[in-house]
Amino acid sequence: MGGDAGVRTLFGMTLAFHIVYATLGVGLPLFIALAEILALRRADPLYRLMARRWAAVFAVFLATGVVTGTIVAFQLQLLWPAFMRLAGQVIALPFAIEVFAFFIEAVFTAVYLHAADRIAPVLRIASALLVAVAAAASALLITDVNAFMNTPTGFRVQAGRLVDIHPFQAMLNPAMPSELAHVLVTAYLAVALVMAAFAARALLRGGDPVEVAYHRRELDLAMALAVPAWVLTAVTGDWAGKFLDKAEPIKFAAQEGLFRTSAPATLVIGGYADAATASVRGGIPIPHLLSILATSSWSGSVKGLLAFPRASWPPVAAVHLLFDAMVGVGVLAGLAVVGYWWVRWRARAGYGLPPQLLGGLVAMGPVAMVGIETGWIFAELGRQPWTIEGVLTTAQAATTYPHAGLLLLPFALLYGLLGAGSVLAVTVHRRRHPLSESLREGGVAGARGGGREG
Amino acid sequence: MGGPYTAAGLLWFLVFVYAVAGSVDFGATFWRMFYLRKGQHEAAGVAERYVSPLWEATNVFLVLIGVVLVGFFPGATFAMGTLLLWPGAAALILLAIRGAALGFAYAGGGLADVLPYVSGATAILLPALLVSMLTVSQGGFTSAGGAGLVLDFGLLLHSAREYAYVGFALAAVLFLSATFLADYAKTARSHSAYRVYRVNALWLGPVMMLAGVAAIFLGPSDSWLLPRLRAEWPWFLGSLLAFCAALPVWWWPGRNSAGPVAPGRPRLAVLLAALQFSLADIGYGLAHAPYILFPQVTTVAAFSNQAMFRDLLWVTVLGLAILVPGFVWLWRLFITDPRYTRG
Repeated sequence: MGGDAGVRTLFGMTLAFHIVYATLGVGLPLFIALAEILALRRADPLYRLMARRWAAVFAVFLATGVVTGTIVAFQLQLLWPAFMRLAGQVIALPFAIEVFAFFIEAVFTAVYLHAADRIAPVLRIASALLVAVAAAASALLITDVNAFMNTPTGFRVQAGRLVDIHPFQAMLNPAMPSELAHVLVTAYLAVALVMAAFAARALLRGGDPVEVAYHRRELDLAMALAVPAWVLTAVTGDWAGKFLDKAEPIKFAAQEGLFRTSAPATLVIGGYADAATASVRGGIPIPHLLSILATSSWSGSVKGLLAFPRASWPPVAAVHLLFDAMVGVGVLAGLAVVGYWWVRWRARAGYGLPPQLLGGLVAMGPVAMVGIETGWIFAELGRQPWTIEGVLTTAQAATTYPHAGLLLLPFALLYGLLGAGSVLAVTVHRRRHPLSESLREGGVAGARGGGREG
Repeated sequence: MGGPYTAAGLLWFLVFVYAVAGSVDFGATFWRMFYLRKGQHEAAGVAERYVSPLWEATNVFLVLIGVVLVGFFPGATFAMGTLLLWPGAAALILLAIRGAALGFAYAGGGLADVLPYVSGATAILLPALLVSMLTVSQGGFTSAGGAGLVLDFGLLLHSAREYAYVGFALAAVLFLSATFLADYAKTARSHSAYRVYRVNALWLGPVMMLAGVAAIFLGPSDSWLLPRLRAEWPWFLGSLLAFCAALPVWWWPGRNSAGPVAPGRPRLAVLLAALQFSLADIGYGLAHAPYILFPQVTTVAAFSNQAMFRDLLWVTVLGLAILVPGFVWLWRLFITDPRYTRG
């Protein structure tokens, strides 16, 4: 890694921390908007309560997302000045549009959080929906910069200078459609599973019938959102994989731990992809599957790493394992979704979800976030040694400032503080406003006598 | 006016908006802390009601400045990024702590006793750091070392000009926020809070003006900036007139000023303060315009390409236009709606 190790670690730490809150910030408003719509359509006060309770959590996580997002925006300039000098000339548009999308999010968040009781219900729901749309838009736009880094277009390099610059073409780069789609739907899937984990934990603890009815609705809503999100995660994942095979063959070969160009190509699940011996130790081989996945044909040819100069290889072993971890989380999420609805369908007449299922769902929450993290680290590591593929290496992009790595400690402390603070704020809020009390205040207790499903 | 100066003008306009909105935002969190400590809960409450819903939208303006700088002047980003690594990182950490303290307060609870102090204290450090970037951009504190541009902290910390700018920034933050909160308190019919902020605005105004004059004249006598500032004197004269015109406004009998209410038309004072700052901003901007960072980065050399300039200009203007109705709505919901401001 060399002299840029400190810079990379610092920025990696910033993003690793930020994307947790960013993902929640994208998914939670959708969930809140859906709860608001259900509250109106079904005239069910439990959904309104749900929206209100999650809005308080959203306020805390959004604040953390905002401040870490501000850090990302300026650390890009402080830590990667050479990257930003190039990015400013070619790919500044999504950055700018992202800020405006975020403006819209901030405006309607203020309205939704601080003026909900003073505006008509329709406007309230519209505000929640606009927050969800604007949050999704800003996530997509910033991911678009990453897509540009993977498949840079819209300019040429001539004698060290950038010429023939087309900012919109750079924005609509080849990796954009599949990468953006995958990032957005996986964010929704992850948040649905996190919400489900909270609801499942509350159900495991039990409570009076209204509380149980409340958490059942919460769990149903989260797992209902998880169904399309999971299907689309699989579809866009396959799409992104096929795209990588064509447009970023080195990353694709590294993620699969494929060293020799093969037809048919074998998929290896897990195992240590050893760059020194150009072979995978261990792992589960499945003949033909990689050809099918990459080329949609039984014996299609897939390029291996040895077809490319060794200097252009990313750290293969890590990339392969991270990729498999991400796919593994996706598979587990699928099992959770299918398992839940199967049990739910079978138990329709009777009642009660088995504690094993609930326990599994509780565990699935953090696992889903691990999937987000591994997916992102894989995508970044897989592009190394480049920051902008084929144009600017990571070593060239990093700041020349000596001892930039010394900033690691203050920022690590900051993220520890923010992480602990956000969890503490949510915990304090929940403790001060326990569900049973909110139900009484809302006049729900007794009135519904445990709800339809009780 | 070529491309570089149009871009610089737009950027400087954004800096102006953030300087004013950010001043009110920072100042309000400081006043809240200050009056919580003194047990004056009405004055503290007025400040809190302003900040709570609006700090996020204000913060986005700061990010917008950064992003527009990158797109219009990628060359400047490179120099500024290298140069400002440490002060920039410090500002980021403070901004993060402040924003988190404001956001976490929404959840309430026992934290609510501590968080105002956190956001208030950081709010007074941040303007000092942010204005230092202006001092640095005037030149004199940088050297081109082996690793590129390096900021000479020792020189900066021993510079009277730097302290004059910091003093000016702090006074301006407190003056602007006190003026604005006086108007806000009046809308909220919070008479005791109005009296408090009115007095603050009255004594802080002259302090700010003195610090401002000191900041201009404490530079080296052979400064490139001073003659250029002098050449823009009509703007500064207009600014001074707006400031002077705002003083008697505080003694005008207001429409509802019967009884125990202190006199004054704070809305007019806010408008005059905005006029004062916009005129001074234009004057300073015109004087500073040829250099983004003196002497290494000129506005023309740091400029991006024509294609990016054109597209980004459209995006920024369109984006700001789309946002206007949103801001109007925010204004009505949180600034002029007595149901909200009266708490």
